[in-house]
Amino acid sequence: MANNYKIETRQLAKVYHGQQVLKSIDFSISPGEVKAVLGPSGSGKSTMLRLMSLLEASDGGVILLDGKELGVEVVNGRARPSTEIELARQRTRLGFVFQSFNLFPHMNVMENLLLGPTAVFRKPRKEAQYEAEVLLKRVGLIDHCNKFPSELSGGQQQRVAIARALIMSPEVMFFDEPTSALDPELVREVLNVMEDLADSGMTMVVVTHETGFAREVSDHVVLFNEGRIVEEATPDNFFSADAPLPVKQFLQHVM
Amino acid sequence: MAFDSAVFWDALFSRSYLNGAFVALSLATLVQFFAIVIGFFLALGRESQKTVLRYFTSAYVWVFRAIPALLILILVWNVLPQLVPTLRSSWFTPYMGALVGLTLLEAALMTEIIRSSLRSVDKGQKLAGKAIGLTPRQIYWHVLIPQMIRVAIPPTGNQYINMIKMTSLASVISLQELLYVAQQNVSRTFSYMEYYSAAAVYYLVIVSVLMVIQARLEKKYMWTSRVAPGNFDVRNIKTWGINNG
Repeated sequence: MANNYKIETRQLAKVYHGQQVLKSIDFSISPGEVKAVLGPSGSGKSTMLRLMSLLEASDGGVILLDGKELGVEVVNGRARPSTEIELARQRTRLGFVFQSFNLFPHMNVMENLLLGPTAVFRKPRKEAQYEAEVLLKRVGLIDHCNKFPSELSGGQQQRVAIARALIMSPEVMFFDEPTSALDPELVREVLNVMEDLADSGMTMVVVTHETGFAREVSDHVVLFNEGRIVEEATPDNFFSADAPLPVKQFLQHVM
Repeated sequence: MAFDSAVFWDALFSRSYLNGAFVALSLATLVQFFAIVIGFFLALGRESQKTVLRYFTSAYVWVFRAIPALLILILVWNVLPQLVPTLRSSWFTPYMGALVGLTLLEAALMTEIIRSSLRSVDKGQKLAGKAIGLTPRQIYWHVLIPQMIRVAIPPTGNQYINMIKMTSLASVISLQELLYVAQQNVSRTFSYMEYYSAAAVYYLVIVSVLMVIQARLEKKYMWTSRVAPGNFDVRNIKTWGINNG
């Protein structure tokens, strides 16, 4: 069983309304690795992300973080499903960035960052505020810390959302089409933050339509189709002229 | 019949009117408070995964939306004590009766308001709360309820103002609220215009104050930095919702 994967799924499955949208997914990622997940819409890539980050329950299979199964507690040698509170605790180790940002609209930027550390970790406000300031500087938004989400551009909102996830010190970051809801001129600023994060050694799973990002930043590219992983390769091979047929067909559609 | 302004002013500043107004205002406020609390849990029941809870809460809302307030008050005051002997004691005053009756009714109406405001909060908000590791209860407290309140303020303000006026129905169970006091004075003197217009002035003043409060609350829930009381020093940011830690 021992391997060095940071996070791994085995035979992960999900059924929506009688339709199997994920079919036995084996997905793994090593510490510090960046994997880009491509595929047509409805192919199950976002679903896999939500299951791996424990935002939704799976209908089969296991998810392992550092080799230890998530969503299961072993008490006195017996395994039982985690309670909602235990799941909440496990989720703090996994960061998630949404396509539609999902910032808390009733809180300003600083409050958006402080909620997690103060409510979940019971950190003193001062300490959390210091960490928030460091992160806001890192994503270039320290001057906007008093603004509310509605007063920011999409790119700025997404960078706040990344900082909000990072302040929980996650071990893996999941990105669900982080630039798909952005105006084209705002995509770059978000990708820059993500590249910076990748350079710092963060383990990242990025569902994206940005083939440029997949090519330049990721260590591996995974292609989804109809609920299955159909191809996995290094960016060089994936985007090369002699890539397998499904890859070529997909790339023809998006490029 | 000429308008006798002396009678009008005497009534306006009389002790019994002031008392009556206090009864109306305090009763409406308590009813509204309990109705919001009960309505919140009934709303959760309406949205519950458990069929039994859903049926029970739906039935509650159905019954108390259908029965007129006047009838509820009469049932609580005249019928309930026959079924529940403990209610025959002296603490079950007309005020208590009105509080129980009107709360039963108002809770049903607030359930629907709260349910629809909860539904109006974007689904992504719950997910975002989950993603940073909040427990279900924390998600409600820090994320969903503050956003729900903004949507619920206007209809709840309406309900509250309506409730101020609805307390006058409790005159049928001999509660000495504003209208009851006015009626008694009228039946003694037949000075309809003076006594009733003095009562109307009270309602006007109370409702006007409530409307101002509602407008302020709505402004507070605008969620922009322009109206937020903070300034540009990070350490002075006014916070709410996350200081119970």
